[in-house]
Amino acid sequence: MIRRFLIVLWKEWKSLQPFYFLLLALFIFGLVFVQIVEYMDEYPIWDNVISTPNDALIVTFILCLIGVLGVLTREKDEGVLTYLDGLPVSRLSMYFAKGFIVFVMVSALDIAWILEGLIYEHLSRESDSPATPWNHIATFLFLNTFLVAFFVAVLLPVSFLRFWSLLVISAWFFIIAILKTQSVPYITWIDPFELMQVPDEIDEKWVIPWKHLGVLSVIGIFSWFIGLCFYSMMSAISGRKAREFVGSFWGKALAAIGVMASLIFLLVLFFILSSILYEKGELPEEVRPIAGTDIRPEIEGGNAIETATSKKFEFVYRKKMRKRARQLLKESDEIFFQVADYLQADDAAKAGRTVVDFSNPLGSHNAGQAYWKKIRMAYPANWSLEEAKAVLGHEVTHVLINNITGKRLEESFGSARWFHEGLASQVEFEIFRPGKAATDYEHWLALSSTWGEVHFSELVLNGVLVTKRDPNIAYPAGMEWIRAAIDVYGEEFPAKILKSIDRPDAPRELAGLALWRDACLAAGYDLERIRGRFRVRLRDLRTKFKETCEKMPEITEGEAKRVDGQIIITPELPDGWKDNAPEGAKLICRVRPDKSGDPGRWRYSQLGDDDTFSVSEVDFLKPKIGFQVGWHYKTWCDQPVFGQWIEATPE
Amino acid sequence: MTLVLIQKELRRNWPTFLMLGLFTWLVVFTIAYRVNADGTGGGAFPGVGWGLLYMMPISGIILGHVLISSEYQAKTQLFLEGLPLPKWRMITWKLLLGFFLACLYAVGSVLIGWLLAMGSEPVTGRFLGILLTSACGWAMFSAGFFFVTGFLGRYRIIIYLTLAITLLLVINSTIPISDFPPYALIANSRFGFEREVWPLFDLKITAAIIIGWIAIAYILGLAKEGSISSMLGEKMSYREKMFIGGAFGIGLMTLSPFLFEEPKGEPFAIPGAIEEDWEGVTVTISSEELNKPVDLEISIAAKLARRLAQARDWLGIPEADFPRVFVVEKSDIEEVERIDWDDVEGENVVLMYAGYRQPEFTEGRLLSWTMSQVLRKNSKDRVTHEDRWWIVCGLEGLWEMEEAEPETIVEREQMAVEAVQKEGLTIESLEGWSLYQDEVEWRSADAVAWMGMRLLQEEKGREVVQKLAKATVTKPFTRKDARAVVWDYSNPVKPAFEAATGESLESFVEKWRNYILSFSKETEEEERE
Repeated sequence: MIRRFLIVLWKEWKSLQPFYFLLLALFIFGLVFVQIVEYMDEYPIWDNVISTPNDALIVTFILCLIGVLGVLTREKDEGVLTYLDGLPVSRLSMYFAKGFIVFVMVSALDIAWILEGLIYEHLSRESDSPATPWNHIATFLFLNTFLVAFFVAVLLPVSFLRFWSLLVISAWFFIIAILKTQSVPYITWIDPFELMQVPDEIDEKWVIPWKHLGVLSVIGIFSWFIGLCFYSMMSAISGRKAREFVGSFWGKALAAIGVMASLIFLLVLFFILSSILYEKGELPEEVRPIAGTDIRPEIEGGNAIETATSKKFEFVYRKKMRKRARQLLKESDEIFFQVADYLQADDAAKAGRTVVDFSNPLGSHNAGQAYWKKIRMAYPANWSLEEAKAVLGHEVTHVLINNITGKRLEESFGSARWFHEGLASQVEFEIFRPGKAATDYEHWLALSSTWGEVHFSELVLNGVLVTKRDPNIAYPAGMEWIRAAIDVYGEEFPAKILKSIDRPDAPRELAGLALWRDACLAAGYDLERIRGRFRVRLRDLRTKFKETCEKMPEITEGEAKRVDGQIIITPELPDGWKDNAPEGAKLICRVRPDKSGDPGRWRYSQLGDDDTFSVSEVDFLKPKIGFQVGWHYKTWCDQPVFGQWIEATPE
Repeated sequence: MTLVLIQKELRRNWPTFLMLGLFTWLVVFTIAYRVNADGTGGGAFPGVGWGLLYMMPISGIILGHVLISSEYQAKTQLFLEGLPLPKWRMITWKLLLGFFLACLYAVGSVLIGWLLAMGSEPVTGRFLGILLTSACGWAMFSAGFFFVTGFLGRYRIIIYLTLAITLLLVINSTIPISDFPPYALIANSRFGFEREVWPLFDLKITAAIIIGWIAIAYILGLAKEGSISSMLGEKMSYREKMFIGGAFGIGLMTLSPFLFEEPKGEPFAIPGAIEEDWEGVTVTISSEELNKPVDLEISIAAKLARRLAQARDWLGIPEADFPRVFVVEKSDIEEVERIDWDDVEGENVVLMYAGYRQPEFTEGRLLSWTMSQVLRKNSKDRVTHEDRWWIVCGLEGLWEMEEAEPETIVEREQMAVEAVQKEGLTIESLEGWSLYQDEVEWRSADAVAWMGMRLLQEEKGREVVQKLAKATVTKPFTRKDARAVVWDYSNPVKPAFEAATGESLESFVEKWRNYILSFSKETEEEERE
């Protein structure tokens, strides 16, 4: 029996020869490649392999796909399955052998890569290097090998679809991606690419996600058996009746009905899950996003929409708010031209009408949102006309920045978000709000920079900013930076820098500091001098509001645990914090499932009577979470001011 | 006969056409719904644009396969060729059917967007027209391209892979692909927002490209009575697939370093700053505060440029390779040295920050730290390896102490003494310099290294120190690759030290330790007694 199985293995090994030559070629080339682009003695395994597992996982998945596709159907397509059936070997043995060989080959390649990594690790070791993370390497290998087995098991039944399997796999990825963006509970457990939750630091413990592993195991075993059933039922030569049926109208109709039923099922699933998502808006007050509740009022609905136009705008609003919308519309052209004058927009940038949509809901924490010649804006009944004018002015600034620069800043939006928001805030406060209104932003920035200096190099990398601190700091910090630039180079600065960004010979897709260095140099400005002035302004703010800032210390530590479906966070609060805190100041907390920086996945909580925060566990199924404690002192600053992110692994 | 041909296509492929349509619309609907409901995406139509961007090429691949490639693979085109009608008519009707279906999917998608946007978006005739023409332009471009590749049979896989790699390269390059038609019709983030301006230029270019695809499709389909397409239509063997997969995997890896190359901006400069040129060394210095006299800046720049030029010549670094030096005032550097630095990627520039108005600041330290950055830049970071870094630290000390006050020298000597008394000094300390720096604190480690170089200079002369530096830390590298590693391994420090000084490093370390300890206060007192 074993001998026969070994013979089948040998046969599969021989038939997959081109595949392992492919793997060998990739391995050897990878080996040479590292020598061409890296210093092999500066290539520690933790930094280059273990802590960034997704690159390796994608390659592993593709290799499994290449190995598995065709492995079950090729023999039938080539007409040799009859011959195989004549051998004294069961279909089970053949099926097992095929999957096993692909698994062994891909796993062997991964192990070879790890061994290569270990050689570089040895060469890269310096006297103060941390110890080789053998535990992490073992965990990585274990999870990686598990995933190879999982991919093979799941892909085996899909491979029966031949040409269509790629479409099914794409659809599968698409569905998972959509469900993940909807923050559907438990979705991470069916995503194999989420299995490797690598610790942030080399000396941290790697918590193996056993539940996730269990769910994937069940899916893998189930798929494997389905594949086995298909393979066992696959006839060596398709029967005449079967072929006739498949080619007949009814056969095709059945296939089409099957596909349509699947699509309808997905559609229904999508709507059910979407409704779960939107029910989240009905959560009790204490867990609602605090920053959003005041700024994002409910949209007034129930009425048909109306439109009205002015020279520069086309307003879309609900009938209920006709009066307010028309009042604003009357003043809107003036708002547009005030902003255009401030930014010295030319005729081309001012051309056309901008649509302002008041009828749709906005993203949380937003009073308005700007796109190419379009603005989405809230205008609730409790807003004054002045408030609406200020928000419209802010959004028009975004629209004009896009028009003036030909959307060049969109090419590296992560490096330009602070500038967009900073300049729009500057216009908002300079032109549309009374002189003292910007003090909210100054308080915000003073407190935040008291806790940790706001570096320009962080602002220009939004991804880093989101990971490390409150991403909304881009608004006040951006505004302060623009003011620093105006201090140094005068009121012309915004207009000149925008023109510099749009110059025809400007390099495309510059990012980070390089983008702003280039723009400033082309405009004849010294970026370093502006940075210097920005630091001075921050220092002045800290000094000015020192007394209040000292009463609101940053919370930088805390513990988290899982209790009865909740994550309970106990922040480490300084002694006497309640007595020292300004009257009316509250502590709030927001929790993130990972460092991806998607605010839609953050959950909020206010401090309970027992000095803890709590959020539902269902949104945080991965072993690790991050949380950020902030102060909400409404009379001082409308927005809560958050400290640094704290990483925790709730027990 | 035309009707029969179309009937034949529909009869044979209707489940595919139907499924493809449903799948396209489902994807578009899901994305548009999500974008519309999300509140941050700007409405349903931008979501339609994203959906079409991805789905039209996928539809094109499948339409090209079922209408063209599969006929050749299954050899059913032989039957079609036997029919009493010219081949060009068959191709014409297949193309028209394909374009019709692609446009149907695109139009359906726009209508889905319209349904979702109803009640929140004023859809004027002009706006709808812009949306429909843009969507159909993109759909026909995608379908046309994949019809052409459909005639290439098995080689279409190679075209797809080449296209994927090229796209990856272009997207990661500085080429603004979203500005070019036909991509601009759908992917420049104006789709779904632009309501007034017709994308006429983009539409014209796209139409020209589509006509080009049609012409190529006719040429391929009709050349040599269609025998070329028949030949190419054979299925690819397993070996061929693996070979091509491997070739492209390797190709992609080879190209990958170029994918992520940073675009180049304006050359680094500080406009309006004080600049000093001296024998090929340029020092630019910029103050933090406005409207301050620049006498101090002029003085620092002048001295620094002269001393850098001396140090450069002494180390034998060619004038052309020497980086431009920028010094920016930064008064809030917390470190006691009041000096910091930053990397300017891709430029031969050393950017230093200095709180040069602070009492702790010294020009000697600025010179020495600037020089160590120069050496780092010159070697592409190779000198920062611990087995050589102590030499750079020692040289730094020599430059810094050249004009230091006697008290500073004594203070630094005592730091070295304390470090050696605490952790000793052995050959292992030099080989494990990073750990030694951690153990004794880097300032003390620097002091130890400086004392070593001073001893070497006192004992053997400045030329020997120069020889050692040239042999170990001035080798220039311009690329990050194995050549630098091989050079380091084939030029280890120990033999280089022996060759330069005529003495083994082990015996020198022994002397060095005793030399440092001879400066300890106890020793001095003992000697006095």
